[in-house]
Amino acid sequence: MYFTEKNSPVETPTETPVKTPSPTKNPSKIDIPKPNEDEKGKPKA
Amino acid sequence: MRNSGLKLGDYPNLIAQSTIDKLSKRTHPLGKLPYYDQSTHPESWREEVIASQRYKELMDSYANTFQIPKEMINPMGVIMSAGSSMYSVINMENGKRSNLIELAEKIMRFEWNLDHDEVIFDLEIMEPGEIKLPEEMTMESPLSPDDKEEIENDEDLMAEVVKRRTINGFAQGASLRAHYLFHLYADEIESIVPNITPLYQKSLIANDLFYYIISDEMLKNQIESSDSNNAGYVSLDFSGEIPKIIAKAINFPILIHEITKGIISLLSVAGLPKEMAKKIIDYTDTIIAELWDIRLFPVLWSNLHSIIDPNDHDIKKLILIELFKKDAEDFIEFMSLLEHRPDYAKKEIDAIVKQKRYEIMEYNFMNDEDGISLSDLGL
Repeated sequence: MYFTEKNSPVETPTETPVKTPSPTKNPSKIDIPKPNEDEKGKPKA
Repeated sequence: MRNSGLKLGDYPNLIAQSTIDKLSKRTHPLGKLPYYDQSTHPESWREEVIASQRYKELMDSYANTFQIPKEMINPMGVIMSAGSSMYSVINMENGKRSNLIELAEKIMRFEWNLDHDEVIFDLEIMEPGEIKLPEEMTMESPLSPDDKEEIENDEDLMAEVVKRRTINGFAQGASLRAHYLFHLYADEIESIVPNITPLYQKSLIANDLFYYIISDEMLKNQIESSDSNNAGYVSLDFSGEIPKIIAKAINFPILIHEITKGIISLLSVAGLPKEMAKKIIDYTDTIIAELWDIRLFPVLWSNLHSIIDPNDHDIKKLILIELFKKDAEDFIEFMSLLEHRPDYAKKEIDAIVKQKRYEIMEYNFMNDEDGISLSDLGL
């Protein structure tokens, strides 16, 4: 709090944290870069 | 000539002679990997120590499964058990395949915490003889001698080869362990096919032991002679927005096996060599190399898996991606720790876990209405 010239208490404006949705991908999910077709590895038997 | 360094104790030695020779001369795809523990030299190579451990583990499990003393196990009996129990399984699963496929996908999505926006599964259980291996799968490397020499004379490329061979080994090792997952889901499986799980156990353990009894040369002839010997395969498809794992198998546990291989192969794409990836893959990815991955790497996969805390299995996929993304040299350094100082290797894993948990917590804080959950912190 602070006091005005009239000596009346006024609430200090407080900054409310704002959540901005992250544009990044969800890190709990796998993110595999797409490989070239002949570089993805061969099928496995 | 050097004596074999296999240490089989009182276990009957049913291992194919050419496999023993290759282990002794280290003339197999997993021979002389630079991170192997060398403390048993010159009596036993590390590969011989691993093979001994795995072989004895398989013999014990076979004896236990079939309720016979290990001294009574013989090659013909193993081959016949593998064949007869496999065919019984296939007959019992007949008519229940679509339910089993659905269950396999459910289990694997749960085990690896994989959502529908991360991977698509295209799964099929087929009749024996119907599974044709894709043409790009070759017994030996298709590279020319000159191309092979170019790789072998380049230290950096050889490090990539070691890394690729190791990850391929992990894919097979994990799959060999995973096909026994049916024990954990026996109730659900038997609600579809009653009384089948004891037969799964018989067919799988006989088949796993079979890889020690039969030589590379005989297996090669079998695979080349007829499609009826193909139990399954897995391939990756990146043509769509979401990567797809295509797995075909002759029964449920082999399908689990193939899906596991597909998942590790998918995660490994994040760590493909930066240069000459196709050549490295052509050098390393052969059917003969797979036989050795099957023989030796269940042991090393278990060593890796054991240093991942079970509470972190929900992010095992992320841990493996981080390991596979390491430069070849750093990856080899990690493998060396796993071999010599698993406590230090575990610290590396723990550091990856901490980083991943933090990233997930931060993301959830920024995106979730409810804020942070302590479970995101692993608390």
